[in-house]
Amino acid sequence: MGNLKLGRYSLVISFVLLGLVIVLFVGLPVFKLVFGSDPALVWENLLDERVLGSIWLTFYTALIATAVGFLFGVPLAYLLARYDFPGKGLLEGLVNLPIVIPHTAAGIALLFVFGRNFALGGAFENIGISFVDSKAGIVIAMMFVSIPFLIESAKEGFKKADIRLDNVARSLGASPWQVFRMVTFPLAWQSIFSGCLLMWARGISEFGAVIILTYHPSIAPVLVFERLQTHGLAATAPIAGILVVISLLVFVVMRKMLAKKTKYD
Amino acid sequence: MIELNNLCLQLRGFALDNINLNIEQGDYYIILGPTGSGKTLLLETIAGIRTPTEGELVIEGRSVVDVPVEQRGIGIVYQHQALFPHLTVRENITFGMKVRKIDRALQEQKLKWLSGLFGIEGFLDRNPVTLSGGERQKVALARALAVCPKILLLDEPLSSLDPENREMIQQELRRLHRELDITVVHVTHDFQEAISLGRKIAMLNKGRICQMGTPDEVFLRPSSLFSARYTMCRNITAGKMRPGTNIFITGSGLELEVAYKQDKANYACIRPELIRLSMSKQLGTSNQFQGTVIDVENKGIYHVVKVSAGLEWVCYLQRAEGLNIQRGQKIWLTSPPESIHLFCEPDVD
Repeated sequence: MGNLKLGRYSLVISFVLLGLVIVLFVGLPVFKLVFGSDPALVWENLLDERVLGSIWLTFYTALIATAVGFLFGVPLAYLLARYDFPGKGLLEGLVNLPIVIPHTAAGIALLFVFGRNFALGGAFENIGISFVDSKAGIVIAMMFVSIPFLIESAKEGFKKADIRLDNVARSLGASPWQVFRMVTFPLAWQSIFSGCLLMWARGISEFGAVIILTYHPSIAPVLVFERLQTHGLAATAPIAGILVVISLLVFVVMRKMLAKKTKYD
Repeated sequence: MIELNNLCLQLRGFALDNINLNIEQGDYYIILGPTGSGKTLLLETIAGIRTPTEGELVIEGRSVVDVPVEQRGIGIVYQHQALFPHLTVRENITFGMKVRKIDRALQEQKLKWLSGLFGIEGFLDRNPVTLSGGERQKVALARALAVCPKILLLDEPLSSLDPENREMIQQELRRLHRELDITVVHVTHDFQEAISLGRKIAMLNKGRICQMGTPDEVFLRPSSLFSARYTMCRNITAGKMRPGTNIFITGSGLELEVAYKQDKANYACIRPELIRLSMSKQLGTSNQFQGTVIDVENKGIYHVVKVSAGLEWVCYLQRAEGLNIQRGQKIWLTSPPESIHLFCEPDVD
């Protein structure tokens, strides 16, 4: 009888054990990072203006990158989801390219376009915007590596929003802009918001592309790298722990907000 | 009211080919055809969702090919209702009035009238996903009617409903058409639904209209093999007329007396419900054959009896007739000349 029951649940039990490996693989280092540091050191870092400043810089530059990505990426995602056109596959590949190229290489690529000595970078310099060793540099580096997450997610959202709803809305008298604002966008919102969260989170964790363009002012991952080289592991761990805790909190709160707003789905 | 003149539309390997229709004010017009025949495409072209590649589309005497969807004054209701899932029933119904910036008091007044008309007052503040299929269809109809369309396009509005809701919505559609005097174009694959609701029917097959007419014309006088098969005219047989007579000789050599002469006819069809069965030979009737019952199938309100008599005949027998028919039994079968319909199938020599 006992064997029978065990047999019936063997698949679930096996999968739970296998899944547990991943949970521990991700959870243990994070747990050690967050709880393994000396509380006095954590407190000291929490009072360190440079640490707090760099965490704040990381969060808000990632937010700006997400906002800019939203402004330009959502329309592109809509076009990719709703229309077929020559070269669409190529365009989709191009949009996803930042996922596969090494991020340091991405940083160098950006430098070739937005660097002071290059056309676009030079043009922006003339109007007072520099992308090297500046917040703007952090923003474009974050945006470059994380925009595919927003576009892919938004595209899936637009694909899921039934086109017949658009047709009905138009037959009821809505203009294409009204249809987008009142029907398509609200229906795709959950996926778009999810994509924004992913983009923002990916932006926060970016290091490779940012360090090529902007070492100073330092975002948190760069500061962690710098402290690791100058102060050693024990002194750096609390900063990394604080970054992880704050990111986790913001991420959980936003996910909860999203779940509350989309009860109909 | 709606005129389609030589209308063509090409779309990814499928084409609507040379469609000509004339739908009059107040018509209940059915576009009947199987899945993939282009019915929805035709409906969406009338609505303005798709642009014809050739031909003319005229509504109320005005060419509307270049008029955008939102300015055509056409309501559309889809098979799966397409209610906005992020809005309540109330918001769904008032959507069209809101985008047209209709006065709020008037919106409320119309909402009250429509919810009363469809009996949906009780769930105006509910989300459409919590409603049954029939309730959702009522909301979709109310939403379409809220903006007073001149034309109502219905894309398989009954197909996704259970039999009870289907019957109810069918009654609602009949009542709406009668009370509101609106022009309805209704697309369906169900010929019984078409015959029950339509004043006129156009049959569509592979993007072409193959027959048009009143429900009786389409039902009793199919003009092609496709129409005959699609309207469940089960006894279809190839053959030819004996020149100068009103005798049709089937491929199996059976001679059928028909009510009229049609020398070019190469097919005859007989509706199964028009064939009479009897235990003994009847006097003074033509087309009477003795055969053997090969199958009896109980369909609830009628029986399907298959009889082998020169051909394999399919007859529908009302239960009330009370004949106790068994397989293997000898039986007499009569097909009156006026029950036989002849047509010429052009694709067959």
